Amino acid sequence: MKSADMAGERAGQAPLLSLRGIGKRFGAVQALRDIDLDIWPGEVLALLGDNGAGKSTLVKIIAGAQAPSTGTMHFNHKAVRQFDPRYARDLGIETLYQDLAVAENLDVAANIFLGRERKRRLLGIFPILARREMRKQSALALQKLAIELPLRQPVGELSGGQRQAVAIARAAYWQAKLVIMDEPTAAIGVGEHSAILHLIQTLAASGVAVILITHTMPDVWQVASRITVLTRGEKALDGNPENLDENTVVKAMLVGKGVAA
Amino acid sequence: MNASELKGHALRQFLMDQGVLLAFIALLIFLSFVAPHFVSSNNFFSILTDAAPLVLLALSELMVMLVAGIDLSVGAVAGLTGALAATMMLLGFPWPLALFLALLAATLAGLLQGAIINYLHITDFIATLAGLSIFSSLTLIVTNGEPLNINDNGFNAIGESHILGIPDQVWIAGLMVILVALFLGLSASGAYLYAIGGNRVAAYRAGIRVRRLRSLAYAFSGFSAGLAGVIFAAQLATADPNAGRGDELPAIAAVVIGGVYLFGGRGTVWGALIGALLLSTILDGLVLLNISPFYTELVEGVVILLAVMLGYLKKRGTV
Ligand SMILES: Nc1ncnc2c1ncn2[C@@H]1O[C@H](COP(=O)(O)OP(=O)(O)OP(=O)(O)O)[C@@H](O)[C@H]1O
Ligand SMILES: [Mg+2]
Repeated sequence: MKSADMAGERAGQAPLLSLRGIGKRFGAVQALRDIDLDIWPGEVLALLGDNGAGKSTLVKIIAGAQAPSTGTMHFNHKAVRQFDPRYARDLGIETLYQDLAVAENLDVAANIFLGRERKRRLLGIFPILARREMRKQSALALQKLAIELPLRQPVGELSGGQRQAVAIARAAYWQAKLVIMDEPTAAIGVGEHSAILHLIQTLAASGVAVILITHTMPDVWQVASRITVLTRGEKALDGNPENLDENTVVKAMLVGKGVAA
Repeated sequence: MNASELKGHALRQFLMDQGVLLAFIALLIFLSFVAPHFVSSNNFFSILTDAAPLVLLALSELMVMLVAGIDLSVGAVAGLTGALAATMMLLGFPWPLALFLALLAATLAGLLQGAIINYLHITDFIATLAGLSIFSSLTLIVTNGEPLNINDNGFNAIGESHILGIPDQVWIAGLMVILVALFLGLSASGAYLYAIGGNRVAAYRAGIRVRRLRSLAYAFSGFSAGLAGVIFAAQLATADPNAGRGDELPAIAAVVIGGVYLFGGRGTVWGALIGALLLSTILDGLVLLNISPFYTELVEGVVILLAVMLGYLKKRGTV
């Protein structure tokens, strides 16, 4: 679904995520400046920008891993005042980080359920981990995404692409409203690459909003319904891929504001 | 890593873990041959009784090492706990109250260090080294540098009485081993300790309260070290101002022998237990063989080096 018809649909609808005047400063570095951004359910927003443009910083703020220095965020009509990963997760925001943090000493199921373990009662009293149940659920979740993985192996012994798949399965399993992917296709093989793009489309079709950060231009036109470009911490461009070509986007990434959309 | 390498890894892992058990058994056989007293004057329980405090200190180190920490203060906390309990009994406190308050102090000592490490971002090594100095000094201040006699039979019974034929000290250490094993193996919080040690950032992003749990691991370390201190005091019916001094090294050695990874996320209660039993029996063996006590720390030092080197080899083998 492309954004032309999206725009019609969203006319009366409030955005799922809405950022106003978001800024972030690290000491002398102004990583983000005055970012306004709205995203609607079912949208795939490609967040583009050169290295160091502030893409990861922006999504970390949305995911609650960092607090903004200035600005406000609304999610699902509610003001977000707490920037905490646990809180963001409970709101329905799942994130695949660029540095792909997984607990390498734990197995696939333990990673998918990390922080939200299934429990059962031992002797009807003590809450203990329902490991078998979690393994079963993980196998089902992976199957749904057509991902094949050895379930009992520590994640540290899997390939980069397989680890990525674990992180994606984790995001998909929890039925998030917003899934953020920071360069999910970096450093993986061709087969897994197209599987991930397909997965993004599946998620969006089911009404999930996706923010996709990537440096791979063809991917953008394949899956994105909207393109937002960050340049040195500022929003330089925000538009429909149908009305944009790669040249314009790359120019915006380099030059910044003032490139006509 | 392919499948056959993985099998090799599993085999090596097994030999590594069970190798310590085999070494322990071999040592027992060796000692029963070369030390005539070993069989006659020692039985199974006396080995366990001797090892009980070290097992408790090893549990302390296990818990903090799982979250990629270290606790150099366990010996000092043990000493302080005995001194506090003895002092309170001398002041007329009933022994269960003295015991409870002393263990509470030990737990708070651990929690305080954990909070300093995790909320003030002081390196664990420095924070617990400071703790070691401070708690050792407090012990000297409380005892005035003199051994304090404990006349309370109820308290001293911990060091000499039996339940169902098993010494109280073995019960205490054994129950702690079982509780920690259940906690680590079955509870969500136990799993979180492994997750934190494996990748702190991933754990934090998964919504795990990393700083709180790491602080609690140090609180546990203080508590378990306190229990070791209670056993030291009860065994001798005395709070020795030097009790526990230097015991952090054998505790760390024990868990490292037992395959607990120094940098977090890997290790089992079983490993820590076997490591502590092996090291404790080696130290007992030195006494039985009439080897001068001057050699004790030399042996401890060599064992630590060997254990850490084995740990590195193991790590290299798995990555
Ligand atoms: N924790 C931090 N402390 C200090 N500076 C930071 C921190 N995180 C990011 N920065 C700085 O903020 C700026 C934006 O970084 P960010 O990681 O958001 O870029 P990016 O657009 O994701 O780049 P890339 O495409 O290379 O991933 C950079 O100048 C970076 O050095
Ligand atoms: Mg980035």
